[in-house]
Amino acid sequence: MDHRKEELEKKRAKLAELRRQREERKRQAMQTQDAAPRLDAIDINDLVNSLVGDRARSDSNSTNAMNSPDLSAPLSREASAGGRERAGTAADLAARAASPLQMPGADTQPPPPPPQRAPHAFSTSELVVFDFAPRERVMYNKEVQTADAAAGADSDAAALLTEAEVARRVGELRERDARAARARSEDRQRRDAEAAERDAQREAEARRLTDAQRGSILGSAAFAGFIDRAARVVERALDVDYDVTVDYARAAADAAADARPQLALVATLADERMRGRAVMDIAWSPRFPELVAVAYSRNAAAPNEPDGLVAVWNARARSRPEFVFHAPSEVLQVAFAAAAAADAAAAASAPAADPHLLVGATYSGQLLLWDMRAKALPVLRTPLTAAGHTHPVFALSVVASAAAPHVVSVSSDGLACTWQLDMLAQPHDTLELANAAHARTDEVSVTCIDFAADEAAAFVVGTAEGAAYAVNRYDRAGCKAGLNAHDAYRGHSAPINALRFHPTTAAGDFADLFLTASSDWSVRLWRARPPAKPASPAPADMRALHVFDAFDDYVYDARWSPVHPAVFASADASGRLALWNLNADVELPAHAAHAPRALHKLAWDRPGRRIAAGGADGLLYLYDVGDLAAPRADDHARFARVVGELGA
Amino acid sequence: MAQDDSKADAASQQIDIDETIARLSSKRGVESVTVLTKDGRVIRTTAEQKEGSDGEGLQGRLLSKLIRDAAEIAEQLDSQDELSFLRIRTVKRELMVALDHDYLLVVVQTPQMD
Repeated sequence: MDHRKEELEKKRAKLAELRRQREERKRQAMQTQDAAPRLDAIDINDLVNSLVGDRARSDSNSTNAMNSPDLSAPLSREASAGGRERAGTAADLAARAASPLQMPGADTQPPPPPPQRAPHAFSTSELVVFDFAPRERVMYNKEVQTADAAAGADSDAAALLTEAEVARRVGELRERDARAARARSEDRQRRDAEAAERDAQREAEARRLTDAQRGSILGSAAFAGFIDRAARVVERALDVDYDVTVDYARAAADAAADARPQLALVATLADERMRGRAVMDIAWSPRFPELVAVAYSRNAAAPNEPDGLVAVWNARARSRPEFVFHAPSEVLQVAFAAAAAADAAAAASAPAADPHLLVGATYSGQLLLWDMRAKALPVLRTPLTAAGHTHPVFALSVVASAAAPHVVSVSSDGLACTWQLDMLAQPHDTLELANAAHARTDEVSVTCIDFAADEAAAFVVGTAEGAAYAVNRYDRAGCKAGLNAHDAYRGHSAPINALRFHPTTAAGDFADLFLTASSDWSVRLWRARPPAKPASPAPADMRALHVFDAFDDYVYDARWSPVHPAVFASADASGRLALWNLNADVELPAHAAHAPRALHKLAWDRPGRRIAAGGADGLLYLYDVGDLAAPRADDHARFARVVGELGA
Repeated sequence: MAQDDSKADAASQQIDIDETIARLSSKRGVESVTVLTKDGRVIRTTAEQKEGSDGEGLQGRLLSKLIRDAAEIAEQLDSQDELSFLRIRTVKRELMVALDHDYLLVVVQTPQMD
């Protein structure tokens, strides 16, 4: 670009020079013509002078004085001098005389001084020339290309072109210029189009990944992470089979689907990693109602896999777990750390436990804490020393207290530990549970514990011997801390597998009722003695309010519905999931569903509409309870009456 | 699973990815599963390519354009927000696009009535 500009400048200068020369010549030519008539006059004068002599000369001098003082000299010369020479002289004279007048229209450059003798007096006037130069130069812009055409060969001829010809030439050139510009722009357009086409082609080429690119993408951790997340999202979306665009006016009227049995199996959650393992515990997330954590037993056939496995399933995306956590030892109990905040009031007052945390109790005695935001391995674990548990922990409970949510765990040797979730290095508190009344050893083998609703200072443990005992955590009101051997809930003749207090809902107070499920093929309903009341001096065995014995195998679990006061579900080794409604019948379950193999655990989701149950085959069955456990207004009163009758 | 394959080598990771895609595509009603880069280049697809490169190229290019526009809409709604999932429902099919900064996962589904 710069180069071109420079060239243009050069050409312009050259043209200006040419133009100037041409003008000069033209002017001279014109002056020659102009001077001709005067020449005649001068000749006549000469003639007259020569004829008239001095007298006439003085006249002539007076007439010519304005022209030049020098004029007298040539005029005084012989009149016979050559016409050509005289003409030149006259032209010079005329030029010189005219120059001061013509200067405003003259060229940029001062014209080269005429070769003949010039009087010094006129040189000063020529300086005026410079003032008017720039305007002329601008006008020559049009003729830039002229230089190209006419510069070299016939400069002289070109110099003598007439104005019309010049105008024609200029027009021509201008046209050519325009043509060139047009051609240039066309060219540019074509080039642009070509480039675009090339780009598109290249893009199309680039759109196809090379094998190397594909390989590097497939091998990148970021891509694997993306696939993992995206697949999960899409799976959830796929599993929600509700069609938002359904048009009921047009849809076929196949409403027969409503006639499904009431306790219906809606999903079976399984994964290859759980093959060969049994379900050990189930816990719904209090925060995310569709998440359920499941602890699995060791897979004896796969010694290379971690012994302990906890999977967090999503009840909506059923094809695989959301999270899988590992443990070095079999996980016997699992709970969400936020489970403490079960009811709204407690959630509001207590510091919110992190909903991402899961706590598990293992066969080795360790308590483990997993974080859903972290990797598969536990983020915190308790030590395997005498400070903590050294026996399997079958009993674990998360306690909501106003001060801080904490975990109470009891190992099978009877050691109860209290843990702060953020500090698992050592127990906050330990309590040795012992029963002095035992014949050989005072140990109690605890299999399960539970806290009554709104009661954090005392709990009840179920034992392998078949009895349940109340435990005070602290010395208070005449009760010593520790196991209260006087208040024994005896009746089961086999280990108690589960012990569950009634989840008291706002209306009605059934907080002192609890269920025990035992391997003696029965479930019992108990009323707990108020823990604050001093124990009776003589050992007084409490009797069960009622014995549910419509079982034909070990009963592994029994749980109250979270919403219906009179409904509980039981799971037994025959694989039967039974739903009991005490308001309707205390002898037989209201509904039942059957799994192919033994069911170990069951858990209601928080709205009380689904039950997750799992067992020996490692599958997690989701049962839809539907409205079976939806409480009616009078259910509390009726249940109170039923309990009263049972207790009588 | 993402938690335990951080150390897995690329080969086993690829197997994992292929398994994931296979699992997705075996779900009920799923027609095709395609993984693309954000600019619409196909990394993996289970869709049979009908007219050679044209079919996938078209889908990829249009999809990446669509995603760009959708992301812009999301940003206009809330400058702190970003697009994370896109569902397109036609009369017959449903298109689901899960995405992050670099990749798109596209699942074409024919919704099944129970």
